[in-house]
Amino acid sequence: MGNVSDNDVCRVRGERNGELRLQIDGISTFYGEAQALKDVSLEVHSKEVVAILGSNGAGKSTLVKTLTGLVSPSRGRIVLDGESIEKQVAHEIIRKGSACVPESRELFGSLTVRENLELGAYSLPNAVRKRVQAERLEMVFSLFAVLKNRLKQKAETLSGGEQQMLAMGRALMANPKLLASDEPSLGLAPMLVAEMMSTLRRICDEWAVSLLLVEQNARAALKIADYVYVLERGEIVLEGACDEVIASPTIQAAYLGG
Amino acid sequence: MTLLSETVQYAISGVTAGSIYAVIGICWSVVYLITKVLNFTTGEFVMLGGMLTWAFHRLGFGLLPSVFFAVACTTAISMLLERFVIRPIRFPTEMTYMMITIASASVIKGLVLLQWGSESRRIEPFFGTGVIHILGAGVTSQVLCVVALMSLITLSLHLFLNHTLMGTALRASAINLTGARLIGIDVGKFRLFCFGLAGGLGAVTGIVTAPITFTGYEIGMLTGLKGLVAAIAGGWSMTGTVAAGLTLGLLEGFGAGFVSTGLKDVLALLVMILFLILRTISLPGMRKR
Ligand SMILES: Nc1ncnc2c1ncn2[C@@H]1O[C@H](COP(=O)(O)OP(=O)(O)OP(=O)(O)O)[C@@H](O)[C@H]1O
Ligand SMILES: [Mg+2]
Repeated sequence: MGNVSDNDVCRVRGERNGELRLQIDGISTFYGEAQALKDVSLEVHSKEVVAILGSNGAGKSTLVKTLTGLVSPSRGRIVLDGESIEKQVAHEIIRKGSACVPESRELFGSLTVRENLELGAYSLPNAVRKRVQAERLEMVFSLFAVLKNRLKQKAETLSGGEQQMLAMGRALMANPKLLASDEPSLGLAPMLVAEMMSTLRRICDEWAVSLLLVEQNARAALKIADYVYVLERGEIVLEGACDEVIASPTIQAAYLGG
Repeated sequence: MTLLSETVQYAISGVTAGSIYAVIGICWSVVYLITKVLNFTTGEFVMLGGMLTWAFHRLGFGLLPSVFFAVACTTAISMLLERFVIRPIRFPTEMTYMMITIASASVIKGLVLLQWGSESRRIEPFFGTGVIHILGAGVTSQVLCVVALMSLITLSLHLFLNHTLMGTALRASAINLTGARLIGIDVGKFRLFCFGLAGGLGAVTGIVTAPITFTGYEIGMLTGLKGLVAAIAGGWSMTGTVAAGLTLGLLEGFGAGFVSTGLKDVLALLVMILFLILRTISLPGMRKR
């Protein structure tokens, strides 16, 4: 994996194609009295990398937590492959095919890398777990080769970047159709950021996983995104195909530094 | 009695008691690590196991069915406690959890006192009253039964926790509950499972010891506390708890035998106090698993 080359940047696209995989419709989420999401609507189609950009406190992580059932929305609908999931909790939602890598990774620190990965397949039905687990493990190693040499090591002894890879690998073990990744670039060196982004693109293209990519690092995210939403103070303020968004003056000024 | 046979005798009673403390300690830690509930009803489950077996037996059931009913009832009571008393707490903190289990323990104890009175009760030994002799010390069949059963329980738990998916998932939940939810673990079910396990195992220890030490409505508190000492001194890990439980049992056995029987129950609490004081000076290998 090297840097993302220039012709990788933003496949030009008109209408959004692919089937509708995830539809978030008018979601509002509160922490007590404080409203973190205001009437947020967005879509993720199959074969798409959808980026959610926004500055600190914009509500990006809240969006991911709402989607994965860690917090519940007070209004709105979340439809995954035709099924409403806004009333369901995290351990049910993963079984519907929506996995997530949260901002704080939430790894099992004192378990080994292997145990962390194997537990990623916990939600699969007993009948197929063994088989899918083996397949997925190969896939994870093909994406994150370093993990293969760390299997016996405890997760907490991995470097930050390796932990990020492990968290991603663990989520992929569940065989998800949709993966929400909260700031995968956080704490990574610039070189590794580009590598992580191109790996994410591969996950989407080669493994047919739709990606909801939450990023503060707009420049990195825009390199691989198909469609972009910009979140500010809990509201979507801008959306569009990646190339349109890149061209827009507000984005240039606010996120790409002119 | 020679000094050797005396020593062996005390050691045997120490190991017997110690294996019980170890298993009770595991009951505390299984619940605490996953639910963060410091469960003071643990000792009452031990008491209930013995008392319910005695009660069913008195009603005319055979010993084996009585044991079965007692374990089943205690397991159910423990799960009901989690589901309908502990889980509904609106603002859960470790302190409110602890207070509510202390209160529940008193309720259980009170009900047993009301129903079956304050006498100590005895269950007959499971395999007769045979005694074998080792180096001049006598070992009853019941003691052998206790030690064997406690070893079996500990070993099976060890295998379960380390070599099954569910066991690994339980350990994972003890480490990170959010992570556990995200990989698809129904944390509510695991909480129920842990309470059920603690109730069932607690009952078993109470049943197998009843022929040796008798049982009665008031035995829960102290027995439970000794398990807690084992769990704390063992750093809440399984091997640590077993080692600490056995050490505590042996200390008691020798203390009571060579010094004074009055020392027996004091020792455990003394160990706990000492340990909690010393633990601020970090002991290597004690904190982490
Ligand atoms: N557990 C919580 N309790 C109360 N308020 C919260 C909680 N979590 C987040 N918030 C508030 O909700 C708002 C959105 O937070 P969120 O974590 O979603 O932002 P974010 O876009 O992910 O920010 P960052 O880029 O810093 O990760 C913030 O104002 C934050 O203070
Ligand atoms: Mg965030």
